[in-house]
Amino acid sequence: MAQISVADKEVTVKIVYYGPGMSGKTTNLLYIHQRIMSKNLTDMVSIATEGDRTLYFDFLPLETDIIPGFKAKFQLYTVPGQVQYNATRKLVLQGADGVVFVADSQWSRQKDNVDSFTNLKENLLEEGVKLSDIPYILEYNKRDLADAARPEYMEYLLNREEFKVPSFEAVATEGKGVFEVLNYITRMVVAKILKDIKK
Amino acid sequence: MNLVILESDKIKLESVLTGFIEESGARLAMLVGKNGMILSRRGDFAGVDVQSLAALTAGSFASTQALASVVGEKEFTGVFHQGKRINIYIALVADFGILVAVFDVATTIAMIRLTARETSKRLEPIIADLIARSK
Ligand SMILES: Nc1nc2c(ncn2[C@@H]2O[C@H](COP(=O)(O)OP(=O)(O)OP(=O)(O)O)[C@@H](O)[C@H]2O)c(=O)[nH]1
Ligand SMILES: [Mg+2]
Repeated sequence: MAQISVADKEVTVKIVYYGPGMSGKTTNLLYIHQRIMSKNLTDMVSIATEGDRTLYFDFLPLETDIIPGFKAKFQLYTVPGQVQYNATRKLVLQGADGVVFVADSQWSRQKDNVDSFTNLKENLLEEGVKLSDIPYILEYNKRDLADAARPEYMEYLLNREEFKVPSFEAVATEGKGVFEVLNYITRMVVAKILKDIKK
Repeated sequence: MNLVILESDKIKLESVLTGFIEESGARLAMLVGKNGMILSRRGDFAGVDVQSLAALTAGSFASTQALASVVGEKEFTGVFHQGKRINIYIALVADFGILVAVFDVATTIAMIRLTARETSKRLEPIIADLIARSK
């Protein structure tokens, strides 16, 4: 649920990075944070365990001028991917305007990807939201690893809803694909908001 | 659904928050949605990372509500965070989110709790109206 302040000429939007544990969600935000830090004096907040696994969420606020005449604030969140943290995952997902599903390309993780994707749909439905009703894209991360499954196979596993969505290959540790994904999802979300406003 | 805030909403919300600050002596007050977005804020924000404050208090309060259901309570209407110099009080704003108040330890918690609860009640119809209009 985006917040549009006509009074302050400001739009605030929430984008959630979702996916199985260790797929690289936090790494995406860390890379974005590193790259924009000089321009944008905002900090990233992480609630994590000692081993760097996300316990509750990561939070990174960004500001852009993507909508003419408005200040656009994008709030990026990651969920904890570990299966047992579903309660907190649901809380972080509340009110998301867009979702980036970060899948782990390794062969051994394909079942976890599918389970997490199913979990995303279920958690949205509990809030009365159909996945197809919100903008989302797929990021196939860890393409640098030798045992990465072919993208076609991951498409077959994950991009099988009624409407196909854009998917991107990424190596988040090197920043490859990270900004392509961010740019694409922000554009999709903004396009949807503009469409909603016209209605 | 998007939440659309008009100039008239902004003025109404800000005047309620200003009233709260004057009455309670809080340093700052803000109205935050369940999704962690700031709907309105007033007071002294110098040196405060506003967006992080909002995201963290919304997250913290969401866990508190989950905690309530674990012990069979319908909801907790307020949470108090106590520090050496600064205290934070978070009050439930029904069907929307929370009212966050930051204050120095000089202010009594009883005062904050009382005024925060009244303020929540004053905010609720304004927000209900705003949400209804946004649909
Ligand atoms: N080789 C490789 N490793 C990666 C890549 N992206 C992330 N990693 C590593 O994978 C591990 C997990 O990354 P995180 O970003 O913490 O994963 P997460 O999805 O946030 O995990 P949870 O918080 O448990 O849900 C870290 O050691 C990262 O350095 C990648 O593209 N290639
Ligand atoms: Mg993480």
